[in-house]
Amino acid sequence: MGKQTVRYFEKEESAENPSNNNGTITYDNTDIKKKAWGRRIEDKRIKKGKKRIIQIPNPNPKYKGKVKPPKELIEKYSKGEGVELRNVTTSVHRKRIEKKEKNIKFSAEHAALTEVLLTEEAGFLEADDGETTTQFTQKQIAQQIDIAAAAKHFDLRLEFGPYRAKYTRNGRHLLIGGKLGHVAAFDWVTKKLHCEINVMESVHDVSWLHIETMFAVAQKSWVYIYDNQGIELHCIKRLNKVSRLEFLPYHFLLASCSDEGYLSWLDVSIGQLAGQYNTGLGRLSVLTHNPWNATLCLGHAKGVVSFWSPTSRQPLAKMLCHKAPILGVHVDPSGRYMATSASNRELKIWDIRKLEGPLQDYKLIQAANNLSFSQKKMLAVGMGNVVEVYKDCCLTTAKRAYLRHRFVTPINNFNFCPYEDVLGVGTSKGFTSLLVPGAGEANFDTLEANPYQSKAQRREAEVKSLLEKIQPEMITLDPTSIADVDVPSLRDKIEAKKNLLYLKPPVINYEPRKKAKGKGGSVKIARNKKIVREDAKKEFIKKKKELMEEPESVDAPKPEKPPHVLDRFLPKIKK
Amino acid sequence: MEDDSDHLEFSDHEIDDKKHDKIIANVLNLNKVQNVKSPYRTEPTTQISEFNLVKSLSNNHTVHINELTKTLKDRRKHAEIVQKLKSVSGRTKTLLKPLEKPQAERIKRTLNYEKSRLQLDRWEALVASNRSASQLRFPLGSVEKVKTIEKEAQVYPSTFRVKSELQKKIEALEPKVEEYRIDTDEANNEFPLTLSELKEKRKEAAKLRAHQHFKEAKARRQNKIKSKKYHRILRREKIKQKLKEFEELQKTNPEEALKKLDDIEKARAEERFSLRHKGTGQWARNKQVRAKYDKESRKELAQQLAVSRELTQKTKLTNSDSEDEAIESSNLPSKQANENNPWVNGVKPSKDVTDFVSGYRKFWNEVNSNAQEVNETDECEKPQATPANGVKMGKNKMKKMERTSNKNKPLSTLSNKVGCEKPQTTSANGVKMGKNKMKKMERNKNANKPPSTSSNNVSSTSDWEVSTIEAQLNQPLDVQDMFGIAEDKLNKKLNQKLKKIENKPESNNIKTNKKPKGVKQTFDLTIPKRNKKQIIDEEMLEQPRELNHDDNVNDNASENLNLTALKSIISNANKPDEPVNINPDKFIRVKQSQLDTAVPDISITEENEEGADQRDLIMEAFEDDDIAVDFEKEKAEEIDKDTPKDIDLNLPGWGSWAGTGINPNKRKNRRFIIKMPKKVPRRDANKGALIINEKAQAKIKPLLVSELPFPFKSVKDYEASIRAPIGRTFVPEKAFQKFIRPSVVTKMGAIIKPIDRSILTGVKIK
Repeated sequence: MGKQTVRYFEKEESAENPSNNNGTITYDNTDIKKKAWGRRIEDKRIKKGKKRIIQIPNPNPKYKGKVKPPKELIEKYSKGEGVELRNVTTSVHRKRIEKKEKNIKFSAEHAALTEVLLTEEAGFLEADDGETTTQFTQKQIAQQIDIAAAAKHFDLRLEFGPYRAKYTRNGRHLLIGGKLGHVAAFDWVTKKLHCEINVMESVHDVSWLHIETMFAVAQKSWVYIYDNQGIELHCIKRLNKVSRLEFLPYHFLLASCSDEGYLSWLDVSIGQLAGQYNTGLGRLSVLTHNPWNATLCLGHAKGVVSFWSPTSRQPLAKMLCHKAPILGVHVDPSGRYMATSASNRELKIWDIRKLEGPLQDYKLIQAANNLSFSQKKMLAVGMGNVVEVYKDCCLTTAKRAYLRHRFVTPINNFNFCPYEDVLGVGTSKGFTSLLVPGAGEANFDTLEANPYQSKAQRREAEVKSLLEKIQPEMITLDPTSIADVDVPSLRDKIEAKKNLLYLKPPVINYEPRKKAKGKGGSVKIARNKKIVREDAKKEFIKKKKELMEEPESVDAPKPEKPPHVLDRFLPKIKK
Repeated sequence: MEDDSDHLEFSDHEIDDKKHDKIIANVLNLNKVQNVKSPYRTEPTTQISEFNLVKSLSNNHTVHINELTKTLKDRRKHAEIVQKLKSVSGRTKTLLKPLEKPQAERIKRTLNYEKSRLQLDRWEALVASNRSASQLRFPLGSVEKVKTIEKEAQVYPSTFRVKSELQKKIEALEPKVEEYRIDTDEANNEFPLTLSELKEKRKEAAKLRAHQHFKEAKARRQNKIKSKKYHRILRREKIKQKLKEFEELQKTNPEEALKKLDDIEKARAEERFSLRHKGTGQWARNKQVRAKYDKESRKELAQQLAVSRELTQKTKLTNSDSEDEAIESSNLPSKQANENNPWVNGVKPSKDVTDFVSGYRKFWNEVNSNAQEVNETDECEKPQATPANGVKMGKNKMKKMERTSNKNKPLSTLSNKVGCEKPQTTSANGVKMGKNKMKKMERNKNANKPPSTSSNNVSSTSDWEVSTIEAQLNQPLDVQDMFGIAEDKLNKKLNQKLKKIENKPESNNIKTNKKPKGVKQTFDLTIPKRNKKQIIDEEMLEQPRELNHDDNVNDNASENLNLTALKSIISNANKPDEPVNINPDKFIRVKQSQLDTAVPDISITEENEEGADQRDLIMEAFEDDDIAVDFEKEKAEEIDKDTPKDIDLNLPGWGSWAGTGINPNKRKNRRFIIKMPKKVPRRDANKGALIINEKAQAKIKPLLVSELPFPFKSVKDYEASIRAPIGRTFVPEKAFQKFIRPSVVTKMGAIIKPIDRSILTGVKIK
């Protein structure tokens, strides 16, 4: 008799109690054998000592899981389509890339989530029925707003000629330079003066360098660099007769254009010229830079705006914007739009990324001498002694000015203050800070530009920005091209082909090995050498010929008719 | 012959028959195939070679068991044996012949391969997962022992918090997650001790405890000892010890010794003045001894005691006196202050304030004396600033004014305080307000005099006049202030009017040769001109606001319409074929919109103003013509320059006759011309008025990746893989940390052994 089989459930049932016998079967799972290798993963019991998180089902099934940010917001931060995993060789690499893609997706979502932290909102002016915002004067605005904001409207009456003013990147400090030599740097919010000097020369332009402790002044003949005590640090004689200065903060380049038509980039981190070219386009006095790709935009008398980088002697691009001399050029801080104005009273907005346009074409009553975009894409237009601010003038056609201010004296230049609703206007009799509600970016990124920067933070930021300095060679029209693969274009192929013509066969230094006495004489050695060299040369020429003889038939042969049966009776064409 | 010789050789010995036979057989079989002879028995022996038996199998003379059993058949006695033999013979089969060696080994190899393949296959999943893992932690497979602790009654209240409404709402939205606190228990991680180790440990602990107890007992006993002598001895011993140490120190480290000496001295001094040794002197002791019998000595002692008591008491008295005096002195000046100033009740003003008040008084006197010279006091000056300085500045200012008197521009006098520091105390504030009032009064006096600026910055070289609105909003106003403000406003208005009046002739002077205030006039002039040149479409454009002169314009336009249309037709007919380059501007044209901007009073003209206007007009008239044409020409040139030219490698006269009158063979020549494509795509091909420099891109080429790295098959995919920045400045911190997770993490101090099979079987490594 064999061993009697005992079913585990039978035994269990009998052991438990009779109350459990209403059709349900209970299993004793106290000691189950471990599963065979390979199916072990299924076996959850192996995972001992692991953090156990029990998900309790969502009581509100309307939202599943964590509330995700809206799709449009994620789209804003997404970096485009990912890698197509099918095209990746080996499953290991595929998995790795998959994980990376997941991280990229996570970063986009997380970035979208963090928008919650951008709590500040941009201000604006709202007119009642029958009113326009244009009619609000600065006085009225200043009366209506809080004291702290009202203090940002002020007026400096100065006597040293037309003034040019520039703000630092964080919008905290102001640098003004009068034509008659007056240069002053100060914290315009607290009105604390850093320094004030008279350089005893004509001042043509001023510019902050990467931090507020240094600034450059284009004086009568040369460019000088001062620190915030007003002490002269450098005199750069290679920048001669400079008319305009621009600073490219990420490249540490001080760009300048001169009266003599020279365009130069000075690397202020190493003190060397990154490039200096004669544009050959006459006197240069309209200069701005595109913050998106760090190219310089020059406006010329022939209605052309040219784009320059320090690596190229020729302009990267030239665009005919107007049919009259250009008076003002400015590119908005996001690098999407460019506004140009010309002496024929035109004002045009261009899509500068595509170098297309114009998106908008305005005709003004008086030619605009100055243009400036704010961070929120408001456009300030200066004409004579009037400055007007236009809102939403890039994609939609603006009907009337958002704000208007009239000065007693002609305007020399103006700039919007970053992260503030302020337009700083340098006139021939001083400097005025105008309130433009909604002009500045309300939420600032302290890692990028911090208006409340302490000294230690400034130092830290300086070191970091130096470490992250971008080389001047990387200034191109399309800054994203650095992430491209260098695929030779047709033009490159042609160039390579051309170069092939002038290539010489490689020199071969063949040294035959020493043979035993009597086996190879000097004559034989020389002969061998010659043979090897000639072989190599022949090979080279052959290869070159092969390369040259590419199929040249650009125009494909015409499609012939299918041969007809009776074609053979046609007269034969002699070839 | 051989046989003979053999014979001869063996003749000496006895010839063995057997050997002889063998030799003969060998000789006979020299040329034949060697045969194994069937074995045969010669003599009955107990040992029979098995080989012989086997050999016999090949022969037909084999003995079969059946045959053998036949003989046993009859007997009953052998029946069982027969049965057994039968059954055996029925069951057994002869074994197959073993395979040839190479074949056998081949089979062995395949089997082994198969087996080891299976063995290795087990690793495959692990290896793949490890290779693709974003992070590996070494030693591999080590799992930290964790212990989950349920929320205990003790822990719970500390973790509990009252939730706000918002929190509750958020929790309702988010999925609940039940968490266990997980602690790694290090204690359990240790090896269990062996019995002997345990015993040792316990022994050690017991020893330690005993020692401790002993020490404690000793200390207690010593503390209880009251004997002075014992303590004295103890102290002396200690002192001796210290002295010894000190002497040693003197030798080794004199500086430290000096310090120590100081300390000792100090300790001695402290001991001496602690009154502990009051009656312990030699003299006192003697007296005490005698006091029993001697009256005088008793007296002296009493006196001495009294003296000492007096001394101690006296010190107390002096202390209290000085305190009283201090209180009195502090009260006195307050009374004085009360007499002078009823407002300041017993509070002494800070030194700053008093200084300021006195300084201000002085300053005021001076100002009064110089009233004719200086019109106004410095407003922006700080309250602490010395008055003399202000006056000086004022004087300087005057000098400057004289120097630059050619301009002599009146400027408004605004009272403002931008940059002034806020008053520090309330009392100072009061004083300051007073000052303001005074100033205003002063200003009233000077109202009739011609105004001039005098706001100075100490370090400045220029005049700063900063007007802000907030100035007075902070401070509470009283009646006098209100009056002051009202007067201020009046003054301001007056000044502004004055300025306007004075500015007007000036501005007129500037614009003498320009249109006098009537920009509209020029506008009238310009508009029709522009319309003459208009394209037919443009007239239908809507303008945001109808301008006054539009009727005029339209009339003109309608007159010109026919003419322009005709002209345009003619010009079109004359024009040659347009270049292939499509100019999008020609058909996708943005409507020009008129902006009604403000008309500036002053327009900026850098050079000669008269020429500028004229030039503008001319420019507008011919605006289209040369500039656009020039640009197009430039572009065409650029394109022409950039298109690759065919390369002619002909060497004239090479391989054929040369000279005058000989036409080179065209077909032959064609072979030496390297053709280039006629059209190379340009980025600015369809972009109208745009020239892009194609060669400029070459500079960035060396910085780009030129070869497709391994796991990618297409450029697009590779570019997609590097599309996203991972830097801290581009992505949120959390994502950044994910991006830069180290691919390998090793546990400090842990031995990283090569991977072994236990990881597959799920056995954990400790």
